Amino acid sequence: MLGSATAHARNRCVEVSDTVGEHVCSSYGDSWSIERKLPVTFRFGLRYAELSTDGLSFKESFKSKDRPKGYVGYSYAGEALGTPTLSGVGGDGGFTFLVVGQLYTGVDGGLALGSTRTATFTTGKHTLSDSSGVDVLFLHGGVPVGYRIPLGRASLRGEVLFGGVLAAVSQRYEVEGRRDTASATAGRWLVEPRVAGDIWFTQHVTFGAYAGVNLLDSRGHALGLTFAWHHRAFDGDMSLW
Amino acid sequence: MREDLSFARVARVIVASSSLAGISGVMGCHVGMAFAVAGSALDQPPYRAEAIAAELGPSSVRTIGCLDVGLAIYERDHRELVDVHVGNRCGHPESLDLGKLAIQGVDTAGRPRLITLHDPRNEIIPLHVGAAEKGRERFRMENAHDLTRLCFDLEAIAPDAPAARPAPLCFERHTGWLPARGGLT
Repeated sequence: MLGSATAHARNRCVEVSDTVGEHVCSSYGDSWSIERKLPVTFRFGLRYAELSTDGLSFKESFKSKDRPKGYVGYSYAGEALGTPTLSGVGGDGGFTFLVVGQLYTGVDGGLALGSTRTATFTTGKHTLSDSSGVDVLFLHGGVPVGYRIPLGRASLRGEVLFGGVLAAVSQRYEVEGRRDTASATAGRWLVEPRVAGDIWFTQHVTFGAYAGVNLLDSRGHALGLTFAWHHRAFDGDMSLW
Repeated sequence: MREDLSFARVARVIVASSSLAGISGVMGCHVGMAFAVAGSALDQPPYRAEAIAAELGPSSVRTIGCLDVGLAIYERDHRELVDVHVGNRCGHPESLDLGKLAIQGVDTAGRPRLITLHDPRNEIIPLHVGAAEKGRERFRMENAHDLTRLCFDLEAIAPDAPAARPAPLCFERHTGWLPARGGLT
């Protein structure tokens, strides 16, 4: 009773004993048993992604207060950019948890930046032209569902990422004698099957790589390198059989 | 009108998916990185075979299947405590049932006595030691006062190694508890 009275001071559990049966903040087996460890994995890494411009509908994104009253933003089809794909490099990450056996799901997302050379074209009253430097931004997010095959110190994974990708392209524009830079955004659903491989560096840490294609985009490819921390040692299983 | 409605619907879908992508993209990256780095930094290294024997001395350790199990006995505040160290040598989880640990003591008059681990919450249930994991649990032994000798029979604590026949681990009280040669007598 004394333990429970003092253990939760200021909402932070303070352990009062190091002996089983007298712990107030932990339980027997917390530090070593797989049953007491949530099968959660956190990961982050590098991602290179390509996105086809075909079929994308870009729309200028702007704040009303930054434009004259009644201003109508520009929009155009992705093909008008004059480049078949947009590409970017950046970071991605997320977390997954084992649902049953080695079947997992979770949340995954990332951000990538790139550069592209776009055509000069007119849409409505706007004339758009290439903006130098970093002018492509990708944001992607979704839910991965996958299965891990343990191969000893390595593992092979097949997964599918269900989600969406947002592409933003920055361009110079000219309208009614006014020149500025603005960005237009377009979205696409993502159904990205991936093949991934991991190497265990410790019982909790893996380095890996993946390659994926977006089934909804003929030129939508992605490659990634990942670093992951697995709360449950070897995800509970590293054996071949 | 039909076109406007269709465009509005598409725009809403795009905005919704973009927001989702943006939020989970940025969040996913940050959350994944923060927890992966923190977890890795706090990680303990994988268990190496014989590491417990190196720490406690080989006469305090038995290997049962994949598990190295080591014991250390001592007295604190007039209570007899036992530290159970366990390490999994293998790449898969191994079951450990410390509820099956059989403990017998000998008192100062030479009489045998059965000893149990203090478990008021019935916590000591069969669990699996994670692959390459190491752990330690501290138990109070009940009915363990005035003993001169303690023997721990580990034969039934590793259900995944039913054929293992580890010799009992025995300890004698001198100034403190030290590993003993031989069995209970």
